[in-house]
Amino acid sequence: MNTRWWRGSRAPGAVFLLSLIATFEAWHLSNHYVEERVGERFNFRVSQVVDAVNGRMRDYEQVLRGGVGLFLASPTVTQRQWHEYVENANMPEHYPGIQNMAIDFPIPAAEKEAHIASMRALGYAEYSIRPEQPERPVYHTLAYVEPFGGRNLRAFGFDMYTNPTRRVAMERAIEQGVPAISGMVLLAQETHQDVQQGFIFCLPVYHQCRPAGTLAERHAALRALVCGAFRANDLMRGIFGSSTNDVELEIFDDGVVSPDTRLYTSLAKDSLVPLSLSNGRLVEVGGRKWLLRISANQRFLDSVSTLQSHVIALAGGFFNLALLITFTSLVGRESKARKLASEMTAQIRENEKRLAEVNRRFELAADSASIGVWDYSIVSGALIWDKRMYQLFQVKPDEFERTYNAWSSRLHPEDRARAEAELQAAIAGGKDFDTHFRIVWKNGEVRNIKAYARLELDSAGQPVRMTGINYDITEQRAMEAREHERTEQINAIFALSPDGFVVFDRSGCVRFVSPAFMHLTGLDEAEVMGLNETLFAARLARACLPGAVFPNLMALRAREQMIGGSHRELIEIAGPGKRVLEAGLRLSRTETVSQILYFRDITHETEVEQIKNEFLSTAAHELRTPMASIYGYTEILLTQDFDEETRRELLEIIFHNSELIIAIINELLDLSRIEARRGKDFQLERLDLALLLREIVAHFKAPAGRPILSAPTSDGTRQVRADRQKLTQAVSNVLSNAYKYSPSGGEVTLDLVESPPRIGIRVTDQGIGMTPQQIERVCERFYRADASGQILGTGLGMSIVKEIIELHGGTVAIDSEPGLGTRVTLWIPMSDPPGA
Amino acid sequence: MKKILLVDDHADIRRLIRIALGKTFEVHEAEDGTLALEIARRERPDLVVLDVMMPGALDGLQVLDAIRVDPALTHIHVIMVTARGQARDYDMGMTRGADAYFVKPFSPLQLVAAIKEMLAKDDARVSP
Repeated sequence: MNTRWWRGSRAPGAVFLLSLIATFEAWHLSNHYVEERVGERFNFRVSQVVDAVNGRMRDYEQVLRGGVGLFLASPTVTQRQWHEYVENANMPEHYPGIQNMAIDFPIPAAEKEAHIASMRALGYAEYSIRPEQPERPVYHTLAYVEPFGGRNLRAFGFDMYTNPTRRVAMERAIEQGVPAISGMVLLAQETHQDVQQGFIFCLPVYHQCRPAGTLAERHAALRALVCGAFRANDLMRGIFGSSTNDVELEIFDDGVVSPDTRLYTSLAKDSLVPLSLSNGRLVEVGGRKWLLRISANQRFLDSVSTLQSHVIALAGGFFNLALLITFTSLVGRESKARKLASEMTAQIRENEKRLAEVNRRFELAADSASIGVWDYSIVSGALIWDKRMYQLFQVKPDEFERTYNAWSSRLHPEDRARAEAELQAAIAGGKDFDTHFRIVWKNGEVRNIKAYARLELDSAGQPVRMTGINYDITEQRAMEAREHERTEQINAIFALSPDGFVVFDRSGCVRFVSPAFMHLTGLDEAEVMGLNETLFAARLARACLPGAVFPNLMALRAREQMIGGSHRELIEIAGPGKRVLEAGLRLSRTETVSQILYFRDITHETEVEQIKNEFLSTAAHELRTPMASIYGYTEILLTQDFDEETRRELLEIIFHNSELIIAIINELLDLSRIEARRGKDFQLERLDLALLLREIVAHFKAPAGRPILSAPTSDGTRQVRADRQKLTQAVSNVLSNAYKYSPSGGEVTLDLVESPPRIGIRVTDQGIGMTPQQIERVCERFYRADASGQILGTGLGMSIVKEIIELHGGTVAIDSEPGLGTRVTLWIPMSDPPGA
Repeated sequence: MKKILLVDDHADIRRLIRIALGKTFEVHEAEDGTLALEIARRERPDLVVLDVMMPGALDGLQVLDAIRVDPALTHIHVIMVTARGQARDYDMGMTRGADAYFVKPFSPLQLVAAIKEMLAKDDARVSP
């Protein structure tokens, strides 16, 4: 805004003074009437002129916009097409004042030579980008200039960007995306004849697919500038073509009145502006402020009467000034309004652009994601699908009936009722439709569709239409199903595995613990989840028994890497009952898992191993003792002479100890066979127990001098299913013990006792008896109630008895009193007598 | 005449060693640890042949300990004779102060030779 000519601190004073004069004159001449008429008429003419200028500029902008449209419609616009467009516009007739319409192309420096070469190849041998300039990233060239010929050839290849005035307009157009008019320039086409002021009007065309958010991006996205070169005199002559004009027009660029900014004048050269009646109006065209000064000329003045002319001369003076004052305020208000309007327009354009961009992005997204869009009019029942919907449903547009039923009939029969109900509920309830259903293609293929829709209500709240999207989730579902299945399998493996697992993620923290781990260690998930390996190791170590503590993971890792998987780290978990775990570590190279710690329960294994070791050690000891006698006495006999009696005595010792070794070996073999076979080699048969006992008694050799045993009589009722030979062995062992442990004599009895459903074989002696502690251990291997070695025995007899009876489903009961005797009862299940 | 105490719960073994020792020693026998210690305190033998695994309140190793802590007995030579032949058992006996360790079955002649050697050293030390 620059209106120096009316600005100044004296203006209000002058206005006041002049108003006084005017008021005085008006009062004096009583000529308000004349005053009003002249002013009204002049104002009317001013408005006419302003409208004409604005209108013309709008028209010219339109023809340039047409050029933009040409570019938008076609990815490539040839020189030929541009020529046709301009020719078709018929500029001389419809748009006088446009010297040419040209296309300015930005040419990146790297492409400059190629561009020039291609232009020259088209036949323009002289073509170059002018004027020569130092190296720039981007050059501009008017590569298409129409009409092509005459003085317009001077513009061909002209780099407008080199001219500061033109550049300002170009940059405004590029950066703001608006039509922009340059300041006053002397067109390149000007010859020395009839030199006129001119200006450039340019509009930007961008590459549609490039971002245009920042200034730099807009420069980069620029495809071309559609430019019009205007000669001001020619342009305005269209408006002021008539010589009957009664007003004169001057246009000052940039809103500044000065001989240097005068873009146009209808006044003859050097003629003065008649100050008698003049008015200024500021208009904005192409982002440029033009000050239009419209002045009444002689013709206007002549048209009023002489008297009136005086009045007008005075009143006009008043008007002139008063209007200037008015203008002062008007300019302010008008420019504000224009600015607002311009901003609003820019805003609307920006919004439109954004909308177009959003739409374009949506289309792209919808296309790439194969999202179909549908629109269902609840009022009319019409269902509109976009092209992607047809693809999703594998329906050709001409096969689709565009109704609700056309949709529902394509749903999977099992999903149809539900999906329809959901849609109706959405319509009725005014809520969103968010579901999935299966559809059936014509070829019978079933697809899973995800559907989402929104209901649109009218102002009365009635549902009007529903707009929604569909997309195919068949593959996604299948993938999810596969994933789910795999997860379930893995979970099942983890859940069922007796081995415990701890999974560490890439950051080295516990990510997963299997149920078996929690069971084995007694730690629960919450205690260890998320711990890093140091904390985890410390936590687990706390759960261990001292001396068998979990080491740190670094140690395990080092061993894993050095020794491979063969290393076993044994730890013992504290708490009730012994629990020995073997811990191992495996490193993982997968994306999410760094290492897996596993734990195996080897409590049983270690116990078995311990039992085996103890057994071997005990067995060795039991064999070494008789062997010591055999070896030792043999050596003595070989090296010393003895009398016959002693010699015989010593040999008997050797013989007995040999027998003992044989018995031990046999019984160990028996025991291990019984244990290994676990009764599978038992030949079970129905036995009359009383009869069996009679047989045993008949074959049993009681020690010399001991009373003969008696067996209970058979009544055929006391039957069992048993292995005859094994049961005989068990009873014999017990009988043998009864005699052995009653060395001072006393009766040994053999009875049957019944306690249905079991029957007991009872052996009673009056021997040395046992303490409760001895009874407890009597069935242990190699345990001997007499440890003195006085009573010969292997220490295995009762172990064998126990094994045999238990494998028959029975139990061994022992009652004893030290010094009084022992009663052993072998309880086994009774068998029903045959036919019972 | 040197006194020797034989401690073993098996009479056969005691008799074997007694025969092997011949008539040149005064031989005492004990069939368990308690009796062995009692005889040792009473008779102050020069040497004890001691079985490890014996029934009763004291086993051979405990008897050995008792002999080694008793100033009146600590000079006694102790030869362990045992059916426990594992290296662990041997170490246990030797570290607790046994002079020799025989594992059953053993050679009575070698045992007697060892006994005589030990007692001869005593004589050599005493006589000069």
